[in-house]
Amino acid sequence: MTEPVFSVRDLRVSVRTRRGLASIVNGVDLTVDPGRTLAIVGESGSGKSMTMLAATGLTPPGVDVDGSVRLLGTDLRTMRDRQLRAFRGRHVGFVFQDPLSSLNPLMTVGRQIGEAYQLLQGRSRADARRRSIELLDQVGIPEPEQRVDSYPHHFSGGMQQRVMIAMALACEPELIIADEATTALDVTIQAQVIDLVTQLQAKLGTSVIWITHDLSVVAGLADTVAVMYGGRIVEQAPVDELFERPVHPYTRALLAARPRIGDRSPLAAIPGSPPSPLQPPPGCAFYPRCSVRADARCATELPPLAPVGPGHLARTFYAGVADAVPGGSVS
Amino acid sequence: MSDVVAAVEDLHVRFPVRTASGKREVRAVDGVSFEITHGETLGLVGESGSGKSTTGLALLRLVNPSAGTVRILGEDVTSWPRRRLRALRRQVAMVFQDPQSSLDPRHSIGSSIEEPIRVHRLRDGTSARRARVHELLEQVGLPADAAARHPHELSGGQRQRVGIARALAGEPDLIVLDEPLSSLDVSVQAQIMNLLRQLQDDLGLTYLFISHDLAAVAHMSDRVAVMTSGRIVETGPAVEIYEHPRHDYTRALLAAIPPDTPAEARGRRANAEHRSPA
Repeated sequence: MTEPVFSVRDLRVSVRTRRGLASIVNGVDLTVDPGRTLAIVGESGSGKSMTMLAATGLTPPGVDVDGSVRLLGTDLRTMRDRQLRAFRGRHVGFVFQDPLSSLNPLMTVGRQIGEAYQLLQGRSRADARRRSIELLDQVGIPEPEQRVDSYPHHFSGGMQQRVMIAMALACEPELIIADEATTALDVTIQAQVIDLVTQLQAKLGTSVIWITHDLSVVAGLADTVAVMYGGRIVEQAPVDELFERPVHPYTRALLAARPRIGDRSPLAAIPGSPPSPLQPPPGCAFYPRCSVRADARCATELPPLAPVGPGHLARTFYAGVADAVPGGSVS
Repeated sequence: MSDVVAAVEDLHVRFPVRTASGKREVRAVDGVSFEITHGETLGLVGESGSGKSTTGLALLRLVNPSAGTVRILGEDVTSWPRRRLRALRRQVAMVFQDPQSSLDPRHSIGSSIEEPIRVHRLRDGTSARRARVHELLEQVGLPADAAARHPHELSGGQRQRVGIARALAGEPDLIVLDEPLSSLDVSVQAQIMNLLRQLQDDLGLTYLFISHDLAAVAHMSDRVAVMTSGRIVETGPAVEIYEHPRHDYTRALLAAIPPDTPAEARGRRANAEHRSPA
């Protein structure tokens, strides 16, 4: 059996606010195998982004983090700050939603792409420049020898996101974490960026964690999907299994609520809105919006994340009566 | 009598911009024409910078057209003087992308919805206006006690319902919906789409639905206009456009819709490899 690239055990994150303690992540376990893509899907407030920020030590002060995190067999949670920064910089590449706010407007893209390579791997400036040109070429930017000396504002949004990907790849990381990496992009550009990441992954064997609110983008890129709701994973499965046999009423409702081209009948909308981390429901987090409510315990007891099929876990008391309607309505 | 609510003909909107190399002009909208008839939804789909939002703003004269005409119920509003714009913005209402920034945080929900009723003198007296506010809240699926609350006390979906109630308050002839789903959680988007369609059926509303989301546009619209670089490249019934796209840009846009299922994703990849054996 292969050693996972990245694993998270019982991760918990809470934030003290003026209105009380907000539990944002409430015990998350994740594993990413070499060369595989894990998609984490959730709405705002589901805890999906905070899970990754906390796991990689990127949370701001005032955020309490608990749990264990291993990257390439090394425990990240016990590392000192300096050591963690270097280790993370060497082994993890990040691509965030808004490239313009992640890029330094006063630095050429070539210097930014090569910076980590130069600092973390002790290369010369000339080496770093060569590496930047090679990476720009790899992410599909035309005339990389010229564009290496351009500034971020010279690039379109899609091209800036390619620059971010080049930057993430600079140190040949084992893991890329893409957090809403295509959300700010136009659909045609989104499709290009997804293609680029999957191609590079196949070529370089990198593992990817793809964080998104949009279930539809993961169908074409993930191996495994973890659906988060209310700070917990509510369902996790291989991608085909998740789309063909969704079990958790939330996943089923999300799939059923999508508009389909050619069908203009009213959508199977989910009532209400996602729970607040300040006032989490006592039982299943989806209970207040759920149309199934299969069990008396739903309102009061937190369902365990239990196996319901091969590699398939679901946090619901409903699993026992699942009838496997692909994308079908739950009512 | 014609049932055309809005008729846009050869609309141009140009913005002056200063760049390092001097002044130049951006043609945000570059010769756009369309009609919207009573009770229908025209979907305007395009990517950022296509000019779709500017087109919507021009219908309310929130930007001034550089050339062309915009007729609302047969009247050319492009020549209307400033003092008539208030009347125009009753006839054509707008629902914005982000209800958080389009609602005044200091005003209660009730007073935000009441404002257009008061400004356009649609009801006389406080109690008649309040009754109308309650009717509107009910129509958009909000409880009556929401009137006393403030925007920050509501969820994103509830705020967008307030945005819709405010747009309805002026009893408009046309509602421009500019990316009304983009800032909402995915689990809430279907609620708002259902609400908009329900209101249209109940009240006979006419919509211009502006969005980058092709699936949402297909679901909401009777006809679709595809816009890129300030121009409409294709118009037709939604089903026709999606099943038989004629323009290359429409095809590219449709090809970029994320696959519905993993199986469809694999099918597309196999297809792409088949077409380009590199």
